[in-house]
Order: sequence, then C-alpha cells, then structure tokens
Amino acid sequence: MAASSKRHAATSQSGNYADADAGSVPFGEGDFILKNDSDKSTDSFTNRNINVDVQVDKSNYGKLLGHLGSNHYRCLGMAAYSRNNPYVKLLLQAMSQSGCEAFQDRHFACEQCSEVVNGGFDPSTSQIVLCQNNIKTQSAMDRVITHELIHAFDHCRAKINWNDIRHLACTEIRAANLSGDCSFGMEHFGRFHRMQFGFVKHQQTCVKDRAIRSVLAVRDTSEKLVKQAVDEVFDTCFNDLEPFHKIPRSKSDAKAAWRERYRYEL
Amino acid sequence: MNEAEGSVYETGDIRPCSIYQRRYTDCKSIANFLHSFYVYGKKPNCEQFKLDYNICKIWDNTGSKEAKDTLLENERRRNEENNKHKHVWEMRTSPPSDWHKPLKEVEQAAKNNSEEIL
Repeated sequence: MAASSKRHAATSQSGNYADADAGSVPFGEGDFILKNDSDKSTDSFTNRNINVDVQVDKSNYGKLLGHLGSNHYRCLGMAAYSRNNPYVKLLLQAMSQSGCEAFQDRHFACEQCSEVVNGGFDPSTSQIVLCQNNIKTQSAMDRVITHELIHAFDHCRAKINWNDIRHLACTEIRAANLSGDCSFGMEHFGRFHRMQFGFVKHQQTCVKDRAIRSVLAVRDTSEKLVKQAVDEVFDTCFNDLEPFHKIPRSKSDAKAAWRERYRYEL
Repeated sequence: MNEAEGSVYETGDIRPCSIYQRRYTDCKSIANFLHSFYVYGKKPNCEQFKLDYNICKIWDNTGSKEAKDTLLENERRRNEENNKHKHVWEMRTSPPSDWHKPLKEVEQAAKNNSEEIL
C-alpha cells in the first residue's frame, strides 16, 4: 500500500479514494482536483480525517443546529437508513459472511468533497467515503453505497492491486454492472442520463462507458490505455456476478437473492 | 414442504421448491425477456429452471432419492458454472488483516507510509 499511497497523495485530492464514483455526474467528470484547496492536495492523507470539519461550533447550541440541519448529520442518517435497501442488505450480508463485517461508525465516513464526486472507497483505511455535500436524496445515497460496497466486497474477497489499471477497471465494471447504474430506467429516464439511447445490449455499452469514465476520474492516464484495459478484462468481469446470482433487474431481484441466502465464505 | 429435510435447506444445497418456482416464473416473465435483450441481446433460456422446478415437485411429493440426487447434482453444476470463469485478480483465503483495526491505527499507518515517501 506504500507505493499506492504515494501515488494517491501526489495526484489530486480525489486521488486518495481508490475509487471515486463519478457515476451520476454527466459533464465535466474529468475535472476532479479541488479548486479551492489545491495547495492541500499534496498531503491528502492527512486531510482525509474522520473528524470532518463541519461548519458547526462545538457549543450545545451549535450541536443542536447541526443535528437539525447540517449535511453531515443528514448524511449519517441516510447512510444508516440505507441498510433497509435490498441491494445494500445483500452486500452487507455477503461481506459479513466473508469475514468483513461493515460497521456504521468504522467503515462509513461522511465528508465534504469536491463538487463532482459522490463517494469513494478508501482501501488504505477500508472505509467508504460518502460526500455529504453532493448526496441529496435517499435514493442517491442507496445507489452510491451499493456502488462502493461492491468495491469493498471485491477488496474483501480478492487481493486487488489498486495501482494495476486492469484490476481497477474490473472492479469498476462490476460495480457499474451490478449496482443498477446501467439499468434501463436509469439510462433512459434517470436524472443524469447521457442522451445515449439504445436497447439491444445497451447494458454492455453503458457499463464500458461508465467504467472508463470512473477509472479516468481517479487515475491520471491516457484514455486509450484505459479503454484497452477495460476491453481486455470486460468478458471476465462482466460475467462475474458475485454476490448476486444474476444481474439484478430491480430491487425485488436483490431482495430475492438476499432471501435465498447464498453462501459466500472465502 | 418436506419438513424432515429441513437440514438440507440449512446447508443451502437444496432450496425450497417455492424458490425454484420463483426462479422459473421470473425467468419466463416479460420483464425478464426484455431485460435479457437489454443485457445480452438474446432471449433468456429457461429450460434448466423448468426442469429443476419439476424435479423439485417430484421430490416434494414422493420423497424419491433419485429426484433429490438429480437436484443436488444440478445445484452443484450451476455453482461450478458460476465459479468456473477465471478472475483477473488473486482471490484471498482470509479477509484483509486491517479490516477491523481501529481507525486511528490505520490512519496513522497510512500517514507514516506517505511521510516516508514524500
């Protein structure tokens, strides 16, 4: 992890997340460097602190106000409520069965991010980072947590080299494929659909596209190399459906998979 | 439901017939037909689900050992097919060691690492 932390720290603010989900942001997703804090970006690890500096004073009055209206507490509340979502339920169950139980206070962090990031998974601290200033609704929170939990599940069951662009591409393909980001409804009627309509095999087009954009968002490499890597691992990773037994069509599919109680021991 | 075989369900080797039924009806639904075209560009193949459901019904009604063995065999084969594709990465045999470490320790380690290099 030493080499990776150097790389993360050197690139940009968003670089300290192994994966930053730019999924639902249609335009300008390459622009990831924090504009305001560009001088802080050299030591992003020391920045990424679980005690987030929310603009709440420490007095009782400030705490009260914070509880009533701050992004941070709203984010924590929504993250806790996400455990009712069938996708999240299934993934948490699969992870605890493979020995990586995810606790609310240890493995989830609500933080301020740059404007285009929704969330990320940080393998060095094994935390899921949720961007409290960008996630506004419960359904968005469910989607981001599902996406990041798939990365966490991959980290839990496999030795992922986060510097290897093929590994990164693979986990991005799986996350885009299984989290429902590329479902028909999201692609055609979703708030951030990208005006790319299609039907036959459109899921594959969408997954490839999203994976390329997500990898480009966190790694400073040429688009050609990323495309090559995604194409190389696409067949393997598109057909790797763990912990779902098929590509979930809707919440009811995820619920059914959760009820069937598959076993995921390592 | 065959209550005497409860232990079989718990191990997850065989599932209750209602699950096979749900799989089959789900597979032949219109929604899945469209979904299959959307994902793979071809229509779904539900033969295996139908077969499994019918065998399960036979096992449930008669308790025949042959039906049970066939069902076990099918489940095993399906699991094998799901796991046969090779992975890009090396799989772990135990979960990552720092997963449950306290946050302060982990953050300190990460900080030290980055300081060493920078």
